[in-house]
Amino acid sequence: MSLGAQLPALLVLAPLAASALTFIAGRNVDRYVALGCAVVNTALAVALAARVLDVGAWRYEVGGWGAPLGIDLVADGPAALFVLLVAVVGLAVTVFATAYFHRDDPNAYGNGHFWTLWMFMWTSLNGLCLTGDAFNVYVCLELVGISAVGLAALKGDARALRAGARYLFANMLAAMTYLLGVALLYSATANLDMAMLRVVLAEGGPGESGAAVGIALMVAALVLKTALVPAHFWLPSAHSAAPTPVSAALSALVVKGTYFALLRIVLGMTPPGFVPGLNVLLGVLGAVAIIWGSIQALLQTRIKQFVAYSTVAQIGYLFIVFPLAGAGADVMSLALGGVLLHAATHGLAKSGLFMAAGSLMDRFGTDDLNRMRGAARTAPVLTMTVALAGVTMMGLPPSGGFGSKFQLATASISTGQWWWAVALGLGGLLAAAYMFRVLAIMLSGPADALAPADAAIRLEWLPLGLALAALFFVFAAPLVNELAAIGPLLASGAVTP
Amino acid sequence: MSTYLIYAVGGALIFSIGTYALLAQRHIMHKVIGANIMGSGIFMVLIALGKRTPDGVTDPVPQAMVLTGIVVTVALTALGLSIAKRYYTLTGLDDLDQDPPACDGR
Repeated sequence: MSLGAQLPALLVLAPLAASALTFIAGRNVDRYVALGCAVVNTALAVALAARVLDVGAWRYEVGGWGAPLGIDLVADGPAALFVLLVAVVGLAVTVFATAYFHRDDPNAYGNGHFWTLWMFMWTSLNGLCLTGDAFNVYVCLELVGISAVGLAALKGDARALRAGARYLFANMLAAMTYLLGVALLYSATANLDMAMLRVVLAEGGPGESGAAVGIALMVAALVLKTALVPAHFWLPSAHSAAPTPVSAALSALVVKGTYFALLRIVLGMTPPGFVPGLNVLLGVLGAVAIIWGSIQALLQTRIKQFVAYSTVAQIGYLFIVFPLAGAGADVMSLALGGVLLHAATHGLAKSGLFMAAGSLMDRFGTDDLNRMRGAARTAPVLTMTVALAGVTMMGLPPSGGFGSKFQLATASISTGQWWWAVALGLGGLLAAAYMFRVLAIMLSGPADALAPADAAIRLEWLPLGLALAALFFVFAAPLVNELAAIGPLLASGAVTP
Repeated sequence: MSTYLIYAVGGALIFSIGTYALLAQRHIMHKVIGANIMGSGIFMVLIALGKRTPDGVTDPVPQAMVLTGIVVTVALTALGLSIAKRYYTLTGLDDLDQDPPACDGR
């Protein structure tokens, strides 16, 4: 087996090793270990995407056991795209964090445990994207959840602990529900490998209703973890109470990881219509999330809460793909490419937006939006970042948000389900409303007092770079669509060992 | 009624009791214990379903899933307890619904 075929395993092992190394490395070294690993990881993720484009999807049998006894990792196009997204945003978060967590600060959050937890979260996110086993998804979900709760509560003050505890209880509920779902699915099918399950489920049989209940429970758990309305209650407090680099990682990556598991289970594993009404329900909740999250974002007065509610709204777009499932290969490839494009664009824009919001918060010494007047004059680069990320949220060309909404709307209309396109358009208008409201404050004078820039602020070009990448991401759409077509999510793309 | 069915139904009942505790109880400890009860219910379901094979030989895969589930639950519980302890030390509260006294709003 060539080295390229081992990439899925390396993508899990490299950050895991870094996680252990940062734990034993001293306070002076741990950040450099993490930084080194972030670079290696990004190189591995690029290599994975290049190989997927080159040779197509492949399965990696962990330990040589092979499904159904062992666990298979699946390196297909969508997985490669998500791993690459985690790597690019992860690299930016790592660089940002080296400036954010001061080495000589005795009160540095969690005594430097940030690096260990962050590398561990990266490990589990890569695992979650690559695994092809329904029970292994459970394990990866929990590893993501535990490290994410630890990171969200890293500040250790009452507010962060309260948000962390709520986040943990949401995670516990989701974990147990998912496990019960897997138990029912396994008892009905005696299988855990998602590719094999697709074949077994398509055949039907006596255990069909048990399997359907199991899948419904698994989907419910993942909906809770992805913070789809009405299960979003834990997200705004957890994402806004965390330190800024963590907020960026949680909002840009963690909900994407759980969403990807949902994509694999609903589109890759379950035949269309197997659980009656499931796909339409997910689409309706997505449309509600777009409207409800945007309205909530419009009402927020704290900057990080505002950004977090915008995440709630943007997550909604990702669910418009589900009601279109089973509508034919052309429509599905358009819709799947659209949501993957949206996930990648939102990951880039939202991490940039959260970093800019956190920096603005630190410099104004408050998180009150109404006390950030005149930011355009005193912190022009940060305001520019907010504005550019806003363009992506609204879905104006040439942002990736435009490309994704265009593809989703085209797919909806071509199947006659035009109402999804209405939700998409309304979401764009509401996003314009909430972004313009914030920008109006920042562009108006007289300027409020501003603290001098410290090390983290010197990195204000980094969020700007992320926002710019999102702004021009529509030009990456052909690549994203090509990756979307490689693999089992679209019925045509079978995976050969 | 076969034995495995009694265990499976019992497990589902225990799961429901735990879910209720996790959602309805306000004390943090009660919530953590509720999640553990949910876990116990699922483990019972899994072990019972492992017995339901055509030839009567116990399927080992659900037992492996139970072992993994126990490990995950232990980790979640430890994290929950340490957060609860620290929260109580800082605020004197054991209930997430009450606003902590010195919440500075940031």
